[in-house]
Amino acid sequence: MGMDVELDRVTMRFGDFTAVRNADLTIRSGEFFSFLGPSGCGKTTILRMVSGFIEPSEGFVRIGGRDMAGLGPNKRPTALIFQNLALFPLMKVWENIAFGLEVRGIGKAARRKRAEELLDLIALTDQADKLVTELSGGQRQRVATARALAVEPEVLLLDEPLSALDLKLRQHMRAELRAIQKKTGVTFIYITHDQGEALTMSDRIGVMSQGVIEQVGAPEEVYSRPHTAFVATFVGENNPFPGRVDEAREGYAVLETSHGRLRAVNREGLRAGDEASIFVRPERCQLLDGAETAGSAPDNTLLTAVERVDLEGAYVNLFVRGDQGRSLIVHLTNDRDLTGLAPGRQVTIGFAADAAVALPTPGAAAAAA
Amino acid sequence: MGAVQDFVRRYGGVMTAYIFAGCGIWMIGMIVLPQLLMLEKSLTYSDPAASAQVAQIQARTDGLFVQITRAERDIARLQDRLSAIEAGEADPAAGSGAATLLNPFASPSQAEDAAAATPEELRAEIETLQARIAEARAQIAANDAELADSQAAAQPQYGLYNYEELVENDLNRAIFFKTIWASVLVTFVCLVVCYPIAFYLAKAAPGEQAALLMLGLIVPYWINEILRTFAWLMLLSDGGVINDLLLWLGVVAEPIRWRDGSGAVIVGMTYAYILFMVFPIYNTIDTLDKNQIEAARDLGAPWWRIHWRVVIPHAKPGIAVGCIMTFMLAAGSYAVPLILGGTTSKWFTEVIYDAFNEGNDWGLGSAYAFTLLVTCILFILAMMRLFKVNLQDIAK
Ligand SMILES: Nc1ncnc2c1ncn2[C@@H]1O[C@H](COP(=O)(O)OP(=O)(O)OP(=O)(O)O)[C@@H](O)[C@H]1O
Ligand SMILES: [Mg+2]
Repeated sequence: MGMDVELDRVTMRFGDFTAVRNADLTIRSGEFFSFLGPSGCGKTTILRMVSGFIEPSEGFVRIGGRDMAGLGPNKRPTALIFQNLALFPLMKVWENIAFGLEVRGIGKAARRKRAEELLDLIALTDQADKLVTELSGGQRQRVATARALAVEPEVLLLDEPLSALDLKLRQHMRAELRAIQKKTGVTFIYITHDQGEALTMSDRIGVMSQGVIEQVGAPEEVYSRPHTAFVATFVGENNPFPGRVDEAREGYAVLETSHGRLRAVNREGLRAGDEASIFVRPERCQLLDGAETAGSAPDNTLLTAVERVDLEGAYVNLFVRGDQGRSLIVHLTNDRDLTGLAPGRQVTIGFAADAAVALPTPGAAAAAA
Repeated sequence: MGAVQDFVRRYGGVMTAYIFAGCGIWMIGMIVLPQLLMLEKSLTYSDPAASAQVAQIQARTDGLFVQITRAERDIARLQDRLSAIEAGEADPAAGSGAATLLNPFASPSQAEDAAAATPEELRAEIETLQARIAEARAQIAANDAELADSQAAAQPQYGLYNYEELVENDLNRAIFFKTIWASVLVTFVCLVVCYPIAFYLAKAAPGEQAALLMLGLIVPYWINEILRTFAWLMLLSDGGVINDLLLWLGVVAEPIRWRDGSGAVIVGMTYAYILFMVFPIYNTIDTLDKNQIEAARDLGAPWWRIHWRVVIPHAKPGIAVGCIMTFMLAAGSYAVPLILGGTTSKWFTEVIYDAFNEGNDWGLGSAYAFTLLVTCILFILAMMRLFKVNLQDIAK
């Protein structure tokens, strides 16, 4: 079973630039944990601090409860799979996989045997004597995984390992990595900027923005209960309605927005007068046909005009625009006649207050603090 | 023919002609012809003993011709006298005396003339002379036969004589092997010195530092090689800077004689050829993905194993090129051993120079030069074998 990894108020600075700010979380042993964030937000930096290539400017990294300060990457119970895999092109496939064992002074026959076992695990049984340059992208990816697993790490660190693969292969490899993780029980720390990848594979996700871990939680939690505006927009699609809080009461906030007064859940303790935005997922919006009674009408309704309709197959993306508002997306299931939604036609969009969330505007929160 | 057409299509007629002419001139003028000429020269020799013999025989034959001419003249005179006596003329001695006076180098036979008065005596004299002429003629014929043989022997001939000379000449052979060995040593020292520099430059040094280091490596090469070598002479000679310093510090009691043996030469050459080793290695290491080094480290490899298993295999073509260049330059170096070498550290290039210039024996010089060339080529092939690289790797 893998070990837990604890980041204890870790900060990393490069000169004046703070790449990671006060990261504080514990990744549980045997967990598949993903760091999700846009390019340049400091994901690789966190991974390099865990693997030991760089030492944090402040704070502690503990693996299995042990402080890792001063231990180089060759002394830590971690193995890293690089963004570009970094296989050794001059070695055969099995030599690549067995390199870590070679380093540990294990005899050639035993190394070969272990490499073949791992090749079985990654379904490349007969490819031991090929050069890595002769393998396809997906095969190389698997060899890199096997090479890292060969040293029996407690923690496997994966830096966007699927980014070089095409979509089909990527989806296949997701399942495969997940299966390997289940089978080996090793703690996986997975880095990605692809939210679909993070949502489908992970036990928990840490969403990062500009060096800060904004939210840590299970995929459905991060998706349905974002803590910050960044998380709301970065994970999945969301329709934002920026505005100002008019009244905050009983766990709900009413905002004055360019689309009128809108009501949403207030979990972040917004008060009247705060700059904030309401976010609502496209699939939580409804198309109203005017037949609703006062009782059954949703809390929020908007009068908009159809911009265009994109057919996605099982569902439809409906783009609408309010009077002076921005473009909104509504997901509609493709189970009714949609031919009437010609561009320019007036439609009413509605959503429940419970389906929307009010979150502070990042700049305003910083200014207040 | 398809290849040529392809070429024309791709580069146009003029360019194709230029490329082909350039390649042809280079191949023939710079590679094939000089080597063939040198090889031919090295395989020709003329036997010096035979030449000497030819000259000797020719001198002898010349001497015999002079004798014959004289004897014929004497005979003519004697016959004059004989016919005069037979005609009853008086005072033959007067004419003879005048002849003697006129010719102070007259042969002894002429002295006898005065005494020999009777026609019988004169006739006998003539016969003796004629016999002598016949003898000389026979001698010349024999000489001519001998001369033909000797001349044949003295003709420039093809053969391995010049190469045998190298094998048999203990001193030059020793210098040859020492040159090869010392060049290998220079190459090795250069490699040991340059690999860490190249690695540091390519992978470890922060940008600014790398640029400075690079500049530091290149700047000395702006100075002429001879001047640089003399600078080393100032450092290493008996009264040089290093010895002065050591003496002053009391580390040594008397100057260290760096220039005895090959020490100074090897130091000087290592310095002279450092760039030729650093740059090929630097170029290959520069192309190594830094992540591979980190991956090896992450998998637990200590630094030496990272170099042994990842960096050096990657840098092999560069190392091979560096070694080949350094070895060729060292083995073919002339100025450095000339300036820095002591009396006992002569380089084979100096031997070649002497053969051409002082011995004026182009055959021998060519043979020496060709032997060195072949040895160098063998060394290149051995290096390529050792590093398991082929020409394509090197061309990269
Ligand atoms: N050694 C370094 N020196 C200076 N700045 C650095 C260094 N390493 C990273 N940074 C900076 O830190 C920030 C975060 O880099 P990091 O590589 O962690 O991003 P990332 O989240 O992995 O991005 P990507 O998805 O593009 O790989 C970047 O702005 C980068 O420029
Ligand atoms: Mg990265």
